[in-house]
Amino acid sequence: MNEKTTYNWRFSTIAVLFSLFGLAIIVQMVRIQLTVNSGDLPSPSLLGQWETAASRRGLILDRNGHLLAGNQTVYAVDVNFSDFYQPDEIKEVKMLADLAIEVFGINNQYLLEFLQQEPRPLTKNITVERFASQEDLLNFLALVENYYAGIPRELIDGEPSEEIDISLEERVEVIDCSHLIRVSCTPHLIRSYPEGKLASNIIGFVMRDTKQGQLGIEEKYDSTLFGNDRTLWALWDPHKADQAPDPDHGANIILTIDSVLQADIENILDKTIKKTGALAGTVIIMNPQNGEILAMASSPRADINQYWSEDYLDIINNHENVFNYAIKSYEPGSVVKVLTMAAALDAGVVEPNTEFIDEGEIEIGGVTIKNWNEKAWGPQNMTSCLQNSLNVCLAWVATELESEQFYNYFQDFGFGQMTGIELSGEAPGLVKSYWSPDYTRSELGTNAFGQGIEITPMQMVKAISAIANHGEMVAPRIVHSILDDGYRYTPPKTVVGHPITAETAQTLTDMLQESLQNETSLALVPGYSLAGKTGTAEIYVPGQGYKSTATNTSFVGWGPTDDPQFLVYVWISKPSASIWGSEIAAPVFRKVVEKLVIHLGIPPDAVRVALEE
Amino acid sequence: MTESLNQAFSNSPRRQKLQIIGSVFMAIVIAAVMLILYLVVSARVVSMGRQLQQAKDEIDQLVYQGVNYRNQIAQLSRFDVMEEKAKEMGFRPPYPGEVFYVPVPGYKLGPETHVEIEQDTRPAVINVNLLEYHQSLFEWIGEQMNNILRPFEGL
Repeated sequence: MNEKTTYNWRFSTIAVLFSLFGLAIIVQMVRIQLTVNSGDLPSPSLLGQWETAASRRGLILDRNGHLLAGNQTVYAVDVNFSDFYQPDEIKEVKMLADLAIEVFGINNQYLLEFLQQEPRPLTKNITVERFASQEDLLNFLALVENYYAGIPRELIDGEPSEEIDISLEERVEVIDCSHLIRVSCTPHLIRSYPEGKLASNIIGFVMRDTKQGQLGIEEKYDSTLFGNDRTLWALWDPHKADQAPDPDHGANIILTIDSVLQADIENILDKTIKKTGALAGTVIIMNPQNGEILAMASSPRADINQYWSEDYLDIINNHENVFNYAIKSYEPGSVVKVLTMAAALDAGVVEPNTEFIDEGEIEIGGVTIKNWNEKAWGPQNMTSCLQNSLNVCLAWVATELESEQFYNYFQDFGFGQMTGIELSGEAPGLVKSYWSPDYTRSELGTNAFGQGIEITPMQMVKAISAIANHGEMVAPRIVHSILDDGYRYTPPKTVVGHPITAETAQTLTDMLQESLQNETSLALVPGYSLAGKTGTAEIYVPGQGYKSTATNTSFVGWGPTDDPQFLVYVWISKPSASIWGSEIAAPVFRKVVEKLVIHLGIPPDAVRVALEE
Repeated sequence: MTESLNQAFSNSPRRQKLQIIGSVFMAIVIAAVMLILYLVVSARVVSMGRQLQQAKDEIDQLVYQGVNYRNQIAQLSRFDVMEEKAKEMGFRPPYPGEVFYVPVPGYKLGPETHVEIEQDTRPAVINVNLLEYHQSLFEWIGEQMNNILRPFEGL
């Protein structure tokens, strides 16, 4: 055999080997295609898992950045109750069920029965707790690990100790349960309200199961605050890594309220409710120049971290708008006289010195209207009519205006319409139209002093802002800004009308300031020029009519009168200590103003003028 | 004559075989280089995919940790907690008569508290440049027709 023949043989051998190898690959490919059931092979699209991006709901902050509504990491804890046959496995499963019941305080009857069932059925993963807190889960895991390590439970007075020391790092780190075969824990976020009851009437709450905002800001701005969890099927294939869900956080909302002031005002209100034996109440503080609500207290309030508690059932169900009394309608009584007088002065039917002889009663539309003390007060001017809160005088003023003009002014003041404040559940109130079939002329007289109409405290604040703010009525607002993805949206100040002239507003402010000083009201704060008016309204009881023993007491006031920085509205419902607004609501106004002038840094008038000079 | 010229200017059979073998080897080398490049790129994609998956997991962890930190800070700075600490330190709320106002030259009196907003935020511009705002009726009908006919394109 020559050299050429030898090489040919080698080449041929290698060629055959490679050909056979290639052929084998082709045969195997064909065989797989034709013989193996494709359903037996795992689909690439199945090689993955459901993943949820950690999207947080937007924060709610006060005007100084103090957190009012945030988020909290909780865990869904699953326990695997399958594959236990040996005695030690049965014991292990029983231990897990018992500890879950004990640590998580399970009270769901169905789950409780399952966990206590003997003999225990073989079941796959059971979610023993959907909202386990960091502390509870760490406690549970510590007890489970102690069991596996054979460490007996520490007993205190014969009872097992549940308290474990948790460092700050442990409270913050995300808990990993992957080292336990039968236990898994999946973190997720829920709403948390660090301040509990503080401003809860403004904030509202979020349902834990549906993650839907309910009442207040949470409901009104649900879609803005909502963090989209974006649960997607994420493939393990690294080439598809981009298909894993990205977090989509909600926007943050900054409120106009000042939490420190809010806390002080809530404290004053709560103490007043308790001291006077009242049913409920509200206090609103607004800057009349721009409509920003600085505080809005309502009592009683719910701890929105425990909104499901039976203690708060009535408040949370919001039957008759009791979640926030600031936007609940009621018959406000004599505080409305301010607006009746504003309308009359603006229309030119009366002047501050217009004389009126009070005979103690006046008949309008067949109904006799009397003063609060059922006495005749004799010669009066318009200032003393307000100072003495004379129903007869103001009813006469309304008749001088006549129905059309009177109700047109009330419409201009925004009664019967929602103020548009960014809170869910605002009541529109009720003011009858003078042309409606069920309207009687006597209502002109009663409406003039705030009976027979329903107005919310927020509507009153908006209407009175026209008087405090030189005739310019501003819309109240509680959202200062919305921050989203690095952008800021700040709703502008909204002027919603000029129902009266600046001259009328000034005249009425002077009248109310004078009347407040003359009556040496309990609302006065030494050193500060204030204007204001009390209100006492009888409450209508179906079947019994108006009862003078149950009243709504109110006060509205503002100051400093030459440069108004605050407007305060107080409503205390059904106090038992006294039925009069001058004795119940006026002192609350004084306490509130004493707090807010310090907090807002408003010096007494003499000092302020000296500083300005 | 012609035959001698062809012989003179044509490659020898050995050189022709070497050229063929060289071409085949060249093709194999190119294919090998391409395969190696593919493997390298594929490996890098896989590696980066893994990094991306890990980064997303870390983002989730950081979100949870951030939420927990903020929650802890909020719990520690609750008003009742701060008030209790202030009382323990001997403080109490002031009354209006106890406050002294001192004129400071150049300081402008401003009673309103101010909202502090993050410096890196920009005022939002509402996007009104939507098609609906400047599209004519005929343009809208044309767009709708195109949308309807799109599935039948190429048939």
